Amino acid sequence: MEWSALKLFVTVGTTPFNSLVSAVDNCELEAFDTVLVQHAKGNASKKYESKIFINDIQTAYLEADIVLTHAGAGSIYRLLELGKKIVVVPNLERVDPHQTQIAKYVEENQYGLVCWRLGELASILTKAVDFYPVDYEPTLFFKTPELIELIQKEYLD
Amino acid sequence: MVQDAVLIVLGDGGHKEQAKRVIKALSSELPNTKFVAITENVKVPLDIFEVAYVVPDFRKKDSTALEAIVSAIHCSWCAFFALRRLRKSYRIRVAISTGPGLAIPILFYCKFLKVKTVFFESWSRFYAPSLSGRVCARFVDKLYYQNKSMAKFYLRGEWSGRL
Repeated sequence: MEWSALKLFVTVGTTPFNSLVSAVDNCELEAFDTVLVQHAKGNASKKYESKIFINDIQTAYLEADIVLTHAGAGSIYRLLELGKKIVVVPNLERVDPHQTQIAKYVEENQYGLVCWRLGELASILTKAVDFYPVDYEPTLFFKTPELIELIQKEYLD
Repeated sequence: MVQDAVLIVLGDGGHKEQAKRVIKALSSELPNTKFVAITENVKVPLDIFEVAYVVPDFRKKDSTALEAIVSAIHCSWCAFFALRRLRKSYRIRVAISTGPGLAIPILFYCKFLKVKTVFFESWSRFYAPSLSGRVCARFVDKLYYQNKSMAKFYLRGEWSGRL
């Protein structure tokens, strides 16, 4: 992978994640030519192009070489389905711990890298350049016929 | 005239996304089925629901224990009246939830009303169940978990694959 042409997309989803945006600003991101930060209604990046939300986020995902993402399951699954290389950052400041669970799942299965401490972000992003994730092949929802049968039965009763 | 409907109980973020996927899976095979919603404080796309009632959050993310109890009671109270209003126009045949805390009072009320109840444990749960999952597992008719690692927590549940 050519270091000089890499694009990094940073996304925090719908909930502000100011410490991540700050950490990105404090990193030396020599590997990346372009950095775009989607910061929701939190603080914008002081160094890089920033947007609160991105209408066509799928395009932003596809154009990025690496996506640095909060540990929202919806975002992670969509990125893995697109075959993107991801670095996941669980927001440990949140009271609900479920971001930790999916981050651990990603790390254990080598679907991406996880940054557990923001102080290590720069080194993990460097590592991500030459990281090759395992292909994500989920078992998709297969209970539709059963659910439909249940609904139809209730309509008949 | 009272119409038959399927009730979807949803919330913010991932709960909403999962609910949309459930409806997408169902509506292709059940094009004439009406879907109605009761949701926590979030905008829902009305083009997929006949009607949607919004109630306060069952549990705010950064609340103290006392605040959590108060918000749960308040939410449950509002949910009761939202369901009552809904039932004036719709005969709820099945109630499905993708897992916010709101699922607990709504699915409990529906169970009491002899409505079939279905609960989806969240796709982000791999190593520990959610509060709503742990409570709803005790009484819902059908519980689906999306990640196989959750099997040991839901002995009466079924692995469903991921929405």
